[in-house]
Amino acid sequence: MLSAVLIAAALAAGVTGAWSPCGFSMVETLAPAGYAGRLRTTLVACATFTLGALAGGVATFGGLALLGEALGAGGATATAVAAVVAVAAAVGEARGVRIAPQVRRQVPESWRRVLPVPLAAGLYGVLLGLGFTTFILTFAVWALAAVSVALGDPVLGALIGLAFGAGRALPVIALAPVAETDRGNAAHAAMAERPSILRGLRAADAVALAACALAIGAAPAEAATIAVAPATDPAADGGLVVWQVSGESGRLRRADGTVAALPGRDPVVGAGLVGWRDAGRLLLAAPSTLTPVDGFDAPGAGRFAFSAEWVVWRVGQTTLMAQPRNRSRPPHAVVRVSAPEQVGRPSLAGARLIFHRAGRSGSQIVLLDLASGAQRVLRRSNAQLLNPATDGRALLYVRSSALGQELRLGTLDADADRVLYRAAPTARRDTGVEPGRARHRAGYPGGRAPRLAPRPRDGITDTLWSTALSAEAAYVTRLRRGAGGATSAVVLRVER
Amino acid sequence: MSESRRGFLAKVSGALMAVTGARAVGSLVAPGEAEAYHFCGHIYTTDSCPHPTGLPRIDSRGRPLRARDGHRIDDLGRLVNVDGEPVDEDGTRLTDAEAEPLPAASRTRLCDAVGEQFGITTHTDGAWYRCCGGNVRKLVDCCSTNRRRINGDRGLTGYCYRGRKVFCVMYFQTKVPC
Repeated sequence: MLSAVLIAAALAAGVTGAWSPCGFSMVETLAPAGYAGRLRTTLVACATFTLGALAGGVATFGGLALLGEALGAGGATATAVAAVVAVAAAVGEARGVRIAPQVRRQVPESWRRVLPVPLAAGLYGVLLGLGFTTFILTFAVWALAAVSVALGDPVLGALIGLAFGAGRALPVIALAPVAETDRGNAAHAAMAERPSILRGLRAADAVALAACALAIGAAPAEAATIAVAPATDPAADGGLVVWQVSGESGRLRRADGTVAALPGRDPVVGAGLVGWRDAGRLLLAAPSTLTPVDGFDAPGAGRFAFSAEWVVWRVGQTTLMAQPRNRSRPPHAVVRVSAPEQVGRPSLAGARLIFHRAGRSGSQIVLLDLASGAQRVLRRSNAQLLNPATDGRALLYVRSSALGQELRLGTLDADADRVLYRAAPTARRDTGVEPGRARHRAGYPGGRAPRLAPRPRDGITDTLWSTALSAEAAYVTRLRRGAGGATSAVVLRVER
Repeated sequence: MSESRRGFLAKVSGALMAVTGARAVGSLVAPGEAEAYHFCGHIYTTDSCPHPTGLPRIDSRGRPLRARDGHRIDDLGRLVNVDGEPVDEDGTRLTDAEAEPLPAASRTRLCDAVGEQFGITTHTDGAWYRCCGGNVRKLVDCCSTNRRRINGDRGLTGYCYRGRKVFCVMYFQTKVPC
């Protein structure tokens, strides 16, 4: 979708460029009655002009995309900037604002006199295809350049360049061969004397750019917003959302939007209640009044979860304890691992307990049926699978590897997940080459080595951490460790 | 006369040995194409094994190290301590916002990780040593029975054994000065 609208915008931007001094001059130059001298030369020159324009377009937009890739573009911030630039350009085009900054340069006139016309046409094509070497007739050129850098996708950049080059060539090769005919003259006159055509084209550019902005904004792996900050360890149920504020107590946001400070830590929600931990006691309360309706002694408890049937809490980082809400059994360990392996924060739906096990031998997301004791590994990987959340059917979790971090949404019964949000890897990679050397390209299809993983900012370590799932949205904690060593946390929200 | 003939022969043979020796030494020290590729010592076009932080530096057991300083890293590219726990640049354990330690991740031998990633059987076979950055560097091939290398085209024999081909390359930087 995004590729299609960007290609359409680039094509429209290229066509609009025909209204430039150089665009008009090209029609004149390639016409059979002009420097070409005969139709056959015109056709050859049109071909070389087209090739030149395509090459120029690829050089500019593909090159900018390579630059973006080298700078580690493609992240949420860069993409947001691209969307904003596209919107700004769309507004400018819709209002027909004079182009600024403008490039007040033209192709060298002498080439058509001193060079064979097909050669001159090819070189002119390159200059026009480059986009920024001559007059610019639409903000879309600037916007597409910014988008190419921001997305940092060389293949997409090359496609944008091809579309832009094709757009620049199309009006010229359509008009030049018929320039001296009545129809050609009429078309040329209309271009020159009817500003409404250019206004219409710029309006089309505006529509295409707006579509680009929408497509960029709707890109599923990038659409995260900060829901709460500072905050960590969210949980959601119905219209209730809770989170922990570091060093303080938990917070509850009710369905009506009101936020309440809870009288305890590690807040959770479930079965229409809100819960928190007060030292070694887990309390469940009505969200409207925060009056406790149930409580469990849980010495050493940390993060916990509850449903209508069960309460589960973590002790240390190696044990999960459970007790039925009706107290038909005393608290008992349901999961125990040996350090340094860890079990993660529990998530409960009915009697189905979901948690991660992570350690030096890999990680797993495990489902334990507390009623039957049956245990099943839902996901397993050498990548780190962290902090699952479930509503009983869907499964949300973080997958982290050296290639990147993903917030994934799937189901308990199938392992086909989709990526809701993508972030750079926790660790910052090097360039893959030693100083003064270059990457290998030999043997790769098209001489193109695979794209490297995105690079986080120097000195910043981001870790996607605990998750929560509501009917409308997914939540994930983003831990950030800065250069000073302090860890801060925000809760991101992503539409499901 | 005989002394002068012996002297002449000695001079000729000495000159021949000098020329031969110079050629041999020259061939030993010539960097050849080593300087042309993406890390010092690597003289062919086979690309690096995918490594958590880029340059395919490994320790003596084949596990990943950060190239710039030789620190241990896990499969996520995070610095880890001797126990495999993730730490920051100062060696302090990484924690969540509530100061609870983040879990350790696997630290897989790089060539094994390649096998898992590409679904092939891999072996760390032979190696060759060159002088890089003032220390002896061991150039290590991650080999496979796969006919193709990581670049996608036909693999080369390199330092591989038993008919295996080089799938990707790694290196171990020794502390031996050169």
